[in-house]
Amino acid sequence: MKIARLVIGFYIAVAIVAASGVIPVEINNDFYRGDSSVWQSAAHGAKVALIIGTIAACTSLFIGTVLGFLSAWYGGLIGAMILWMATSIAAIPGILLVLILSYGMGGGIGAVFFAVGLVSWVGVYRLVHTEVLNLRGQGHVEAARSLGASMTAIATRHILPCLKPILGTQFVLHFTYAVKAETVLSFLGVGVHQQASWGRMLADAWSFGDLQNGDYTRIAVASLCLAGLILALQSRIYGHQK
Amino acid sequence: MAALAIIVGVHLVLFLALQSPAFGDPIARETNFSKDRVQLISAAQRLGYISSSNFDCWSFTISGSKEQNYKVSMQPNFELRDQSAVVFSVDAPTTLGELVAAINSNGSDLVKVSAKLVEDKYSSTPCSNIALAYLSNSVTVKDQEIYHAATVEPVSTSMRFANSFSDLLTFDFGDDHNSRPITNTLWQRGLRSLGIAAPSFFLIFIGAYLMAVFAHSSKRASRVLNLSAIAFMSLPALLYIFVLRQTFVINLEWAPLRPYSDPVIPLFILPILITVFIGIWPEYLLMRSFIDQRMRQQFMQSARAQGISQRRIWWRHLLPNLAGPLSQHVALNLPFLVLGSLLLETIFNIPGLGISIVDAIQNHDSNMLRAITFLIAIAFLTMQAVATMVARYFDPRQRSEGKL
Repeated sequence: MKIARLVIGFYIAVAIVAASGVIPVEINNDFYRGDSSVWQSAAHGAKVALIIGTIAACTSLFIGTVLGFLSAWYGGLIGAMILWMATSIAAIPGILLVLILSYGMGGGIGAVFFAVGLVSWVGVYRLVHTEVLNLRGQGHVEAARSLGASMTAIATRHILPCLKPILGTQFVLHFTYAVKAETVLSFLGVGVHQQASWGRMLADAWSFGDLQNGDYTRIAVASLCLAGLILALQSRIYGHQK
Repeated sequence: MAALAIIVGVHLVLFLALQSPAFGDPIARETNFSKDRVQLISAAQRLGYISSSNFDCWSFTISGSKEQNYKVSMQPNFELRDQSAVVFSVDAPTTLGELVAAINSNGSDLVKVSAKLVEDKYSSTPCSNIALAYLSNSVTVKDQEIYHAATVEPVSTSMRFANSFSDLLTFDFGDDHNSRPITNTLWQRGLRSLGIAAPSFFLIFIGAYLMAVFAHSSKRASRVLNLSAIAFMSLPALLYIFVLRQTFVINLEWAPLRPYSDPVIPLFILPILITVFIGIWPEYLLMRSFIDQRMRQQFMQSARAQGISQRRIWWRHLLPNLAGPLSQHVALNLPFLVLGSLLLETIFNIPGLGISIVDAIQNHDSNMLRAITFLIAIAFLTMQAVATMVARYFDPRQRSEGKL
């Protein structure tokens, strides 16, 4: 747990330093030659991964929680409409829909986190829907309703605190999904264009033939940075579950 | 009925993403932001924005400063604009005949435009129909240059939605960016992708079951396999594809390095093995949790108490009991596995569905993306129905549901 916290803290520190402009990076074919440029790109990759992961996870959590709550609270036609939307989105493979939306929005960092957020809310919606159905019959929620509390007050003060553990776990899962999706999207050309990212590093390693030249640095650094972040986040989930 | 509602929902998602301006101008995206009038009209027709186009209704010529660029617009006035201001304008006429007459009677010292109808029958064509053709088009003044202007039949948004839905339901996906029928391309390429996906999925399924059984029998094996699963799943799939391709194709030369051609089986072996390596770890973890749940149940304890051999318990008692949930899991994931080959097909240059998606994105081919996504969604719904039937077959509790 402690190590995981330290690792996550290290990534955040590197991302802040990269965002402050201390580490210069520019995208051109010659720049990546040499170890120092690889490390600089990796630092900027940490920044991009944290931005994409955080915003995408927050977007999907927000949409999923709001729709899950509304569908469980009101049911009826509203519930059926939301379920229809969720089932329709779930029938399309996630990565394909992310690819289509990101392409539709013209790629770039904003397109990636927006597309991932718009696609991956369905899982959160299902969990929140089930949980709210259970919670709304419980004593403290019934008491708040009988005292005349508004729906917003019940949702924010009595239901949302009970959803915290689920939402925490979902945040990590969606964060890792978004970061992994970025590598695939960048490799396919609809991900991050103008900035250095781990996905971009892997894509460039392929297009510049790093492996044929026996240079594994860029691939290894990008992959290990990604794996380190994902492992640290996942161990936080297991720590909480224990 | 529920399946039809989901199909409509899938179509709505695709329509919003690819055929409506919700995420940006689809015609501009389809033409890669080209200003070419013919390309724009052709893309608009492919996307269903217009039902027909005619380039031989009327034409116009411009005289003025040579090599001067003007931007032509038709919303709602016919206007020519240079870099700073409008230099020629005709107030919104209703028919093409009125437009031609108005153009010929207007003009200034700076620029003079003469328009002509190709045939008199086009004089009653509504002017609103030429708006799209001139959106963001620029013309350059040259000697005797004649601009053949197009007229189009616009289609309303609701009609576009209905038309494209009926096309999808009849599997009429139209043509791709090379004007080849998409249905034929999908049929050929889908079989190739299935050639990788089906054996991979079979191997992943069997391998994950054997690994889970092995892990359940030994604590050390369980620890090693669990740690391996977490470690391997945290690394990006691209890394495995790059490194395994480099090792087995380039360095060891165990797998062939050649373009896609007969015999194809040797070309498929390494992609299948890589898919299995990437896909087996999450399946192992899932299988492990299923087995752990079942092993704690009474029928398994009773089988052990009766002295039945371990092997018989695994194959005769555990596997049939897992068949219901596993068949559902398998059925629901099989259509999605076709997409697992997205990266593999790109890197190994195998012309399957995955590479079609990448080509469609690179060539701005929305029709192809729509067709592939729709087919996968249909496959998903079909497999969902099959999974329910299989689960009912294996699980008597599900068969009796609704009878009581």
